[in-house]
Order: sequence, then structure tokens, then C-alpha cells
Amino acid sequence: MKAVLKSPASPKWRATQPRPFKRNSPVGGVRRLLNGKTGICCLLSALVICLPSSLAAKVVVFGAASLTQVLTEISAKARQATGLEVSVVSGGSGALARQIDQGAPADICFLANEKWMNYLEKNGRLESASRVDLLSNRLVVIAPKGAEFKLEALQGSAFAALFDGRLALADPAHVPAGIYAQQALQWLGWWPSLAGRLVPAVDARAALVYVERGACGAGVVYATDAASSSRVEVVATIPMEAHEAIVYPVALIRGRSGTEAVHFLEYLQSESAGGVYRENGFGVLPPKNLESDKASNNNPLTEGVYGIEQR
Amino acid sequence: MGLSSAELEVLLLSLKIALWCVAVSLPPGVLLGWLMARREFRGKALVDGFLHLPLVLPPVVSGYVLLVLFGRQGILGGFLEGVLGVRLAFDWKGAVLASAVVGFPLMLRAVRLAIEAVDPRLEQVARTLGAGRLRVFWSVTLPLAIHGVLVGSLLSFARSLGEFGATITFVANIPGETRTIPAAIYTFLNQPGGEVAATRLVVISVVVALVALTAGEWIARRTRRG
Repeated sequence: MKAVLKSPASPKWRATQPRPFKRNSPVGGVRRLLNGKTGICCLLSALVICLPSSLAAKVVVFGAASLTQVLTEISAKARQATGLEVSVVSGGSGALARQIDQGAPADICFLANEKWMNYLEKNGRLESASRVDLLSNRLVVIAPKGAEFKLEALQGSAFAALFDGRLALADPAHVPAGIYAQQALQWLGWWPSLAGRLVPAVDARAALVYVERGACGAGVVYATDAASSSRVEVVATIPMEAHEAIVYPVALIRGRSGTEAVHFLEYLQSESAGGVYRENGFGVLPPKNLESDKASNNNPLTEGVYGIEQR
Repeated sequence: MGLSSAELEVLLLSLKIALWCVAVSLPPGVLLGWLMARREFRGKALVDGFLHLPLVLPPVVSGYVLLVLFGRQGILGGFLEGVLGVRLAFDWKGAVLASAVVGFPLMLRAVRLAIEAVDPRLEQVARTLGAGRLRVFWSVTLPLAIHGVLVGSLLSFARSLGEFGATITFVANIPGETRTIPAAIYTFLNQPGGEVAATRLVVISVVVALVALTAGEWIARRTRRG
């Protein structure tokens, strides 16, 4: 760039100077403002501000983040089959439970964790009779596709040496998926050797993203999350006895028992919804809280480890 | 109310990240602020828009873009780790980068406005008296625009203290490494019964913010007087 000194007389110089204020009445100023393009902008903004919000849905389901996919599919199916309009609000189980506790307009809540459901029940927010433990899930060890490693046996601290970089998991301080993951890693005897290499993510989905992106060399996430991604490889399925049972309870919110929400709650427990759960890798728990199903387990690794001593 | 060692750790980490954030964004902030205020070039509006993107994008998106670029397999991340041995992802340095990116438009705007307000005739006079362009910048433009630089630094500092979305997406929530005050508050709020611990941290961050703002105001007044 040339160092051309702009003289105060040149029009270019004047253009860089702020315009002097004109002493007009403020009303005249405003009127002039509303005449030109600014006026059109103001008018459009005013219209947008007045747009009505469109919560036309009849049934509002608050669902855990890991259920987003299945709930979207099931509500589409339900609309076709029964004409029910359902809208799904997803988030972390803790956040959803707190919102419902503060009177959020939910009809049904479907959480990834019994503790938060107990919290709602204790606070009298649920129609207790409607509460059902509907789904189960598993934990898996994953690695980025192309960088997967072989896990010969689920034993000992050799695991830490198998992969490069860090291990992603949901935050064990508060996210259910992370709490289960910590229990599993401790049960397997891997926890001490992983100190300093853990990456606690916001939720299991975020942990999955870290592994997908190759930012972490391994991760522990829900089997359902792993199944939804084509960019990670499942290295091992963690045996169910390594952690507390992963149960997804669903219930009607108090005062919604006479509404259409009841029909959708029934639909969530129907055979056609069951197909969607299984397609996405969930286990469907038998009604009346019989013992959790072990039928969905077909990974040879996990069958081999039932004999491993418990630590 | 004494601070527990865990709270102290979170507080010091947050302050360290925020101060580094200011230090890292100052040089490019001043340079680009001057460029946008004083120079006309092709595509200036485009550059301006691009620099303001972090203000418009949800911080989670900024964090995700950083993860893609600076992760171990990202283009820049692989280079930095392979050539310079610097790892940003899941490291406190990554938290500095995340908050610097999110706070940069605030820094840039303050600096730019302050430089635009400097009378160009003063710079021209200095030039006619034989000062080089760099000297004019150091001895005329910058001293006259210093309050803008201060305000920009303060905004960048404050934004960094409050940064949550980009940080937790890019560098996660690792205790002692990347768990800043907002991330710690988030963790506590997600635990049943964690409200008290969260409230204590909120009070701490409010106190820090007030101290920083008062100090900034005091410095600004002194520079104006001097």
C-alpha cells in the first residue's frame, strides 16, 4: 500500500469523516428514518417479532438425549398410525427432570436414569401408576474406524497400553453414561491405569464425537450411540454385571392421565415401537419388571468374560 | 467464607486461561483493529463479517469447528502436534484458544472504534514531521486509542471467564486441566443436591467480575487523565 496522505480538501478524506449532526427536530429525524430502507427493516422486524410460536403439538415428550433418534422415529410412526401429534424435547436426564420439577409443559418423560425419575416421583410430579421400566442399554468400548485395536481379553491394565491418546467418556461426575462407564472401568481393573488420560464429555454423544473425530483414541459409550455411527468401531461390549443395570423408565406427568398423552404412552410400549427400539440397539425390558433380558447379548467377547474374576 | 482447595483450583485455572486469552488476542486484535479502521481493501466487508462470525455462531459450533481443525487428526492440530509438539485439544491451551476465538470480535470492535475516533490529521501531521508509519502508530495512534484497547482487553477477559459452550465442546471438562468456573457450575447443577456448591462458584465469579470491572474502570480513568 502506498503512503498517500489524503489532503483535507479531497472528497475521499471527507468521506472518512463523521457527518456533522443536523439540528432538526427529533420527530422529523425519526420520520426521515422511517421513510427509507431503515423503515422497511423496522417494519419487517416488527412483523417477525409478532410471529406466533407454533407449539401445535398435542403431546409433549421430554426424552433423554440418547433417545432422540428412537423418539423421533416412533412419533413419526404414531402420527401415521393414529394421527397423534407429538413433539419431542430432548436433553440430559438431569436437566429435563429439573425443568419438569419447575413446571415445564411436559406430558410424558422418558429418562435414561432411574435416579432422576425417583427424584421426580418423590417430588410428586409423576402419575406413579404409569411408571414403567421400558428399555435397557449396554456399554461398549469404541475406537475410531481405521485406528481400532484388538482386545484379546477384557483383563488387567494392559488395556491402557493398547491405544494412543485419551479415553473419552461421559462425565462420571454427573452424566449417567459416565457413572456406568466408571463403574465398568473399575470392575474391569482398568481405571487406575487410565488416570490422567480420561476426557469427561458433556454426554455420551459428545464422547462419541471425540472418538469419531479421532481426537481420542478410545471411548466408552452406549451401544446404541456406537451403532448410530459409521465412523467408530466397537472393540468390545462390556459385560452387564460390570455396572448397574442401565434402565430407561418412562412415566406420565401428574395431571395428564385424562389426555391423549395416555395413548402415546401406550404406543411407546407397543410392538411397533419395540421394533424401532431393537433396530437402534436397545434392549426392550419385559413388562412387569421381570429379570432384565440377556437375550440381546450376542457378542462373543462378553460371553467369554463371565468367568473373569470380579475385582 | 473460605475457599476449598477444589474451588481455588477452579478459580486459578479460570484466571490463568482468561489472562492468557487477553494476551493471545491483543496483538492480532490491535493489528486487525487498525487495519479495519484505517485501510480500504478489496473484500473488507467479507473479512469483517468473517471476523464477527464467533459472535453470531453458537459457541458450541465454534468449539466443534476448533475440534475438527485442532483435534489430533485435524489439519492444524496434526501439524501443531507433529512439528511444534503443541497439543491443544483437551488441554488448557485449547481452552485459551476457544475463549480467545469467541471473545475476539469484542476485542476487535473496541479497538477498531477507538482507532476510528483518532483524528487522522494528527497522524498526518506526525508524518509530515518525518515520523515513519510504525512510529506514528506507536506514538500517536496507539496512545490515543489506548482506552479502546483496555476496554477490548476487559471484554475479552470477561468473555473468557464466562465462556462455556466452545470450551466444553473443544476441550471437554477435565478436572484440573480444563474445568473452568462455568464448567464446574454446570457439573454441580447436574448433580441432585449440587445447588450449594454451584451457588458458591457463582458468587466467586461475580466477585471476580466486579473486581475486574472496577480495576478496568480505574485504569481507564487514569489513562484518560494522563
